[in-house]
Amino acid sequence: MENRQTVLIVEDETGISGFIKAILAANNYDVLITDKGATGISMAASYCPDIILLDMGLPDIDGMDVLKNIRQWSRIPIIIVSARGHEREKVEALDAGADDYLTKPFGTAELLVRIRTALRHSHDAVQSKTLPDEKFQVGTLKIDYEKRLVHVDGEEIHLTPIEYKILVILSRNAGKVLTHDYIMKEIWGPFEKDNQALRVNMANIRRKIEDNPAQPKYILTEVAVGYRMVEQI
Amino acid sequence: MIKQVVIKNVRNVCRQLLIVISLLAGAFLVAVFIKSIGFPVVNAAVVYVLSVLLVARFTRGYFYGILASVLCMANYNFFFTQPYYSFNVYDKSDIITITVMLIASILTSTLTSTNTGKLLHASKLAEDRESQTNILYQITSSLAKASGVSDVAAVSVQCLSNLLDTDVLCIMSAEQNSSRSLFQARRGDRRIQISEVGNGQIEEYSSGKKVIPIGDPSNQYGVICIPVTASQKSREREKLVPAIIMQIQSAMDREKFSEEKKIVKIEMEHEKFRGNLLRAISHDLRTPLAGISGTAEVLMSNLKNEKDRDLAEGIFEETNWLTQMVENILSLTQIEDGHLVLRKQPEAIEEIVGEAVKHARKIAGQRKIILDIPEDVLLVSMDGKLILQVLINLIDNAIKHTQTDGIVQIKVYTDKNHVWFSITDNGSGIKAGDLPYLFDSFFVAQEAKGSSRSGIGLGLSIVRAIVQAHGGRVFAENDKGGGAVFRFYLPVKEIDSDER
Repeated sequence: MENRQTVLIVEDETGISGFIKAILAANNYDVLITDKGATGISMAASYCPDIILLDMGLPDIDGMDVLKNIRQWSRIPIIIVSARGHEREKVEALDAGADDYLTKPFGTAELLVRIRTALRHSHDAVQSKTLPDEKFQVGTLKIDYEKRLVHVDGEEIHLTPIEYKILVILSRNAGKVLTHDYIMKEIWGPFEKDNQALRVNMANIRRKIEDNPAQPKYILTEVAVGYRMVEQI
Repeated sequence: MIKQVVIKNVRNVCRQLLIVISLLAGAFLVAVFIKSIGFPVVNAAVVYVLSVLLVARFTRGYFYGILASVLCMANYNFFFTQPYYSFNVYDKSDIITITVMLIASILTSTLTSTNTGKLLHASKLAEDRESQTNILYQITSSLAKASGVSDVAAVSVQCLSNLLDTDVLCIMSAEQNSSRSLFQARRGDRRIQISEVGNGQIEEYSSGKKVIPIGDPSNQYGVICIPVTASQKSREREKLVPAIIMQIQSAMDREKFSEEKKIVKIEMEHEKFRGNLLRAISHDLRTPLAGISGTAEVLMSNLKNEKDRDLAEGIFEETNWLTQMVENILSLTQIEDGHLVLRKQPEAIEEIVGEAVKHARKIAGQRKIILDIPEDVLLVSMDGKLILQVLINLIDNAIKHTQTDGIVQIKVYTDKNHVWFSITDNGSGIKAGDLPYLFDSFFVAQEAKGSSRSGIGLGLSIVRAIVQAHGGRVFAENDKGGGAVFRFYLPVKEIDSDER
């Protein structure tokens, strides 16, 4: 039996924090709410919540500053909540250490999935610092990290080294969105600014592992942000 | 009046004659003095020539000079040649002296008076010119101070009235069926009367007067009416009137342009205010809407009673629809105000179209969605989020206008410099009369009006604005099969050149 996990909601709109609280309470989470960024930081320090939902538009300080402040001393998973059309803000927050994002208005299912994914990743990071999983499977896609083999529907898939690296990074972070910049930095190093190579490689990966590259089921596109590998189909 | 002029002339003549007589008298006295102290008489003749010269200098015209010459010679002959006190001459040399003296003095006097006249004329001309320049300068500077076309008209009649010393009228051209303004300056009165006159009364005001138009026939501001006068001075000054009218016209031009500019500026500010208001309202609506839809969703899963659940679902759906609309308004105001910054980067077409199709499937119900895109990877520089919005709006539109078992086809193809997207449906098509207005803001097709969720006609204008911002174009037409086809293209050139 697990302890109930605590969610800290930093959100100035009571309408939104209210319904989030209702959803989370119904799903066995403890909920803390504050409407100020400064209080959010001190509550994060004193209550040690398991996860933080952070609205980017706060009345006192910028959500980005709250995020950066907390990231200086803690790895608590943070999911940012932002309005539609603020793609740049989302990418910046993700690159500054946010774990995921939600776009207003979001549904119940989406909220719960994001929270669960973020919690599991932080859990994994704490539990198994030594050895990562040797295998990954979602749907009929199987990755054997040790043997560097990829199978779809039991058939072996031939990937170039770069394609394989991209697939590994995404699958290790399955469920999480990875920004274009993050993936590019991991593969090509910090000086690659042109994301065309990533687009072309991704298109090729999809042609190899997806039934229909225009309607992918394994690697989803987050337009203007990045890519997300699904955890389950 | 005439009497005055005559008196003036007589006085003038008397004065000139007096000059002649006194100078001659002086010369005579000097001559007598010269003779009495025993110098030769010829010296007296020289004195007479001098006096003629002086006469010519101080009088106007040849007449007095010649008169003085003749008188002098007669005088000399009478008093200083033998036989004295008679016009007879004994000595032949005296005749020569007198004749030569007469010719010399007449020539001198005419020369002198011509020069004097020329000088006088030139200085008078200069004076006239100076005063004209002054008048023009004053008028120009007062016109420059005037603000507004009607103010210019008022200043103009005032200036002309002062200049010509008479009544001046200015009848402005009618603006948009309104009556004409009439500016009236009375002689010697500093106030300007402004009144409104109908078209019929113009004749009444302008009859018997000199009518001068201001401006070209195509762009006429009005007319100036000046009484036909006889006064010498005002006739002189009337020569300035064309120049002044030119000044008035350019002042009116200036004021008209600045007024037009002001109006445009005010309209722009109104537009901006409207956009800002709309954006502020939409922005403030979106957060509570997110709260409402979220809460309704929680209720949907929490409520036990099925009827209550249906109610909650109703709230949820309506809120989502409202949210969509608010987002559309926000996008449009941002695009129209130029707040929209395109964050262009190479995007794979299949990713964007794939996302749009994913969205389409969610709302398509039983409708069939057919996707047809090229096999090859196609990278196009675009703002992915916005092009996604374009595709979603077009697909939404297609779904809205098809039956529940309809077919929506999404196709991507390329030509030399463009990548084309087409969204075809098998619905009822577009009415021919609606085609030209389809992409205008707030346009809603006639038959769609009245249905509760017809929208407010922003979807397609957003489509056009975004596509145009990308340097592309969007087209709408009816398919041969009966449905509607929306096509748009994006320029594709810059990608190929720098690919790895």
